[in-house]
Amino acid sequence: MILRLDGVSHTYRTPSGDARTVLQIDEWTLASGDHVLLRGVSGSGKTTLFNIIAGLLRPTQGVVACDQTVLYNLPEAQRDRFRARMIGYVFQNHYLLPQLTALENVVMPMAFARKDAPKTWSDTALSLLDRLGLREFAAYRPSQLSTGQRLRVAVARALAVRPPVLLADEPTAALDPESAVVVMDLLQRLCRENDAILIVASHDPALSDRFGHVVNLRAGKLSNEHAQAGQALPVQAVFSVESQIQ
Amino acid sequence: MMYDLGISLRTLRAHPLQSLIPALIVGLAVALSVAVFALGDGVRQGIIRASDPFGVLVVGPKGDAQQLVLNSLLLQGLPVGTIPVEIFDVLRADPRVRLVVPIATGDNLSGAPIIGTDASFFELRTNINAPPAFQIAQGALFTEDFQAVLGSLASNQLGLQVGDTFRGAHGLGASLASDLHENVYTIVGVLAPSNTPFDRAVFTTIASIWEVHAEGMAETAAFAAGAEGSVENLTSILVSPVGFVEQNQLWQEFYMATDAQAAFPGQELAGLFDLLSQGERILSIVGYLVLSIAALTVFLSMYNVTISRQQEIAIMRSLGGSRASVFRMIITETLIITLLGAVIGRVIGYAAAVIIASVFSGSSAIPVPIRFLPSLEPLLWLLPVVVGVVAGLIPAINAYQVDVVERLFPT
Repeated sequence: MILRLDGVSHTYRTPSGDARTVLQIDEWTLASGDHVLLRGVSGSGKTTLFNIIAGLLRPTQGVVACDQTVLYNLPEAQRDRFRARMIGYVFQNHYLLPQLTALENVVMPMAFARKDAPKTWSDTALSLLDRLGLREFAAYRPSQLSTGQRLRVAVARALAVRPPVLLADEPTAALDPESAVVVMDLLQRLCRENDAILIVASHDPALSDRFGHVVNLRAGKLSNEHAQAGQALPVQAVFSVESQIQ
Repeated sequence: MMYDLGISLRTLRAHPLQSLIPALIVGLAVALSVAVFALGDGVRQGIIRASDPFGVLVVGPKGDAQQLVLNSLLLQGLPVGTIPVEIFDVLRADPRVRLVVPIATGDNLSGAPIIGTDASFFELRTNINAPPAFQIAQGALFTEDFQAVLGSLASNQLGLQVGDTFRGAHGLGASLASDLHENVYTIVGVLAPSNTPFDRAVFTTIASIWEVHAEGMAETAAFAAGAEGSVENLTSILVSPVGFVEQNQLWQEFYMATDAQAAFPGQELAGLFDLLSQGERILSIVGYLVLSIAALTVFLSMYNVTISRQQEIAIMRSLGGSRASVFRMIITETLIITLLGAVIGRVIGYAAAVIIASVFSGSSAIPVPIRFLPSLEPLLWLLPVVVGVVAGLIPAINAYQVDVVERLFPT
């Protein structure tokens, strides 16, 4: 699967009425199996980029496409279905539903996606929780789980429908270093198994070594960090080279 | 769909007060309607059973025929007046009449009406082949004046048995000791329960009643109000004609007469039922008002819950839940609340009806059978569904319009 952003920008009006562009990407193309670390300070546009890829925020300009599907050409209901089936999203704040158990939280995206038969949902969710070391906590509510456990439930939920694209927004921000390693190992391993595109937004410098591709987002523009020092290459150039090598 | 229902149920359980209180208010509204209709039906059935068990015509003074029937057969309210005993004599001699029963009321024993009658009363039957409706359980029927036979309920409530004595009081309500007549009655028998209002009555001879009132004529007025100043009057006569044709002939003759009237209990009670229906209609309006208040409560509760749950709704949407699915979820939740209220309402309504009927039957001896009313069911399910949909509409639209990005990423 190819995820393509073409001439995507997002501009909003400030309270004073000024136009402020928070994202401006000329071209960015990712293929199945790509794992990308997205770095950028707060306000650099990471979350805006994720929301645009997830189909939650229509960009002011540009095209977001998965293979031949142009996301924002779809009617909203179909975009919801697309998101349910194609996008896994690990939120910085986990955003688990408090009234549901860990198991029910993991089942929820499966119910929205309707990819698999309902009778398989619980087994799939339990299997994921098991792999994340949470099987015995399946019946716990989020309020009964630690921060790390909640994050792992959120990871399980994001992976529940085996999405081709997984977005993780600061997944290790609230974790100690040991837990962060465990979670990132799991996230990357499970995405490799699914051959999914993984984009992780993080400030954490310790994560840089895990990713072949690290891109910086500064003032809404992407640049590649692994280029020669002081000569950041445009992202599309880097991925074009990668594609040729592959 | 089952998963959506599961989420709705979990959500309602997570907000128990906000779910249960509106459900309870809907339940009370439904209970009011259930109780009104069940009691109305029970009272109708009870009155029909109690008022016309013997297929008699009620002959009494001109005036309110409904009151004549109510007083003579249900022992409710005051007598319309009196008729001369000669009418009874004429009827007894009439070949068109199978049984004629004199009734003279006007006194009471601690609220239990004292009925002057004769042995013919104890020959009344529900149909010609049935045994007499009133059977002696203890002792015997009265054979002399100032002997009395107690109905089963009167015996229980007054704590009187065969061999005990009492003094009657003037009027039909419980009286002060100063109202008591001088004459002393001796209880000679107690009747078996007949499940009629007569279970709470005390029976004696007509002559006893006349004698009591002859002695107290100077200070009494109600009973001894005969036109000629005589106390040998009756308040009513129960007439059992030999056939339908004779019954209609008698009714026609009394219709033309100037000194008395004959009333068909069923016909008179139809008028009473009209009144009852009007009462039910008024109480139904009250029920609808309460249901409207319940709808408002459900709406406010769901509105507040939806406002406080905007982030949850945004999370669902971010995971692929459509606007339609969150709209459906809110409507489902309000429907669960109102349908739960409908179930609670039935339980409370029928329970209240049974309790009220039992209290009413205990005091009036008119049986009020409470039965399940299938004809009411469609309305009692439909109304909570309509209330659920209407009350959930605005909260559901709110949920539909939640801006996911604004809610999840406010900065």
